[in-house]
Amino acid sequence: MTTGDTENTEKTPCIQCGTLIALNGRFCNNCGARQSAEVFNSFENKWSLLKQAALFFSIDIVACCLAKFAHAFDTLSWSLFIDITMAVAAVFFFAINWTENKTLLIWHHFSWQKLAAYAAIGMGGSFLVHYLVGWLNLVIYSKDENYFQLLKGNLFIDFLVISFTAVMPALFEELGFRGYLLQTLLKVTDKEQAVYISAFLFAIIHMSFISLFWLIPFALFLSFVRIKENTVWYGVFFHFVFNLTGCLFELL
Amino acid sequence: MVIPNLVLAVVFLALGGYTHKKPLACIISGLSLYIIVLILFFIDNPASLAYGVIVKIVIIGYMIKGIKSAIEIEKIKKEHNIA
Repeated sequence: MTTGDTENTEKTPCIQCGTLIALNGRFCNNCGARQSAEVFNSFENKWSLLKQAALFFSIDIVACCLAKFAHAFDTLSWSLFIDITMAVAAVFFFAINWTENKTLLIWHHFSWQKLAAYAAIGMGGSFLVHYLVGWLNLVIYSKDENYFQLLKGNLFIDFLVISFTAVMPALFEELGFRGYLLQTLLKVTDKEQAVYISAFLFAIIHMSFISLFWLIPFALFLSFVRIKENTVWYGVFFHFVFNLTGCLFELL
Repeated sequence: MVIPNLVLAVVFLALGGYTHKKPLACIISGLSLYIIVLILFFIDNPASLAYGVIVKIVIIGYMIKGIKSAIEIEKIKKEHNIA
């Protein structure tokens, strides 16, 4: 065996740039990348998970922006279409990793006491937010918004309002944000940052900068409940009670 | 328009200030917020997308680079047990 052959067998391509480097080298001489397949795969895996999460978030952002700010979509049929699109996106992304995510649909250690406690917190929180937001709107914009103008005049108004604002968001936002997104972020980063990121993304998707003051704590609480209980159902119930209380304030 | 801009400025400042402690969370939040703002301006006035387009691309590009670096740095921190 010649010297050249020996050098060839002792070299390996860099996992990032492909330059030939020493077989046992920990870093590439050319690009500086760490030469560990495990680390590289781990980074690639995390990056692809983040890209997938970004796609989910982008679909929601576009849908929310169109629903809230594009006047061409200010009709009941378009609102329904946008809500259904967001629901389908949440279910689709949740189902992508079905084998792992299905455990979140199991209601571990069901307790009526816990359910009642979450319902009480939800109602109390909604009551507080309703009056605080009303007061802020009056102080800042000198008007109090009615969120259900679009649905007024419809025969099934009560049913539609409750479906649009209490049932569907509670179910599909929890499935999307606390089911899929939080679970994905937990694989990318530590628990603290995953909870914070999912809460912040959930808050800003509501497109109300003034409401960030309550949306962020609300979403942080839901993420905390989802991690503590290891199921999405307590969160769905809490979210439903919170939204339903808000609906009843507007309807009654 | 002043109040939303003030809120945005405060949020971006807070995220920037906290980046050295929780880089991934802050950069992802900042990028998402920035993109939402761009989309909102685009819906309001589609021509706004073209204003300062190079600066916008540079900002988004560096934030994506920042996210990749944050993932790397968290890996290194975990490997070396750095808090």
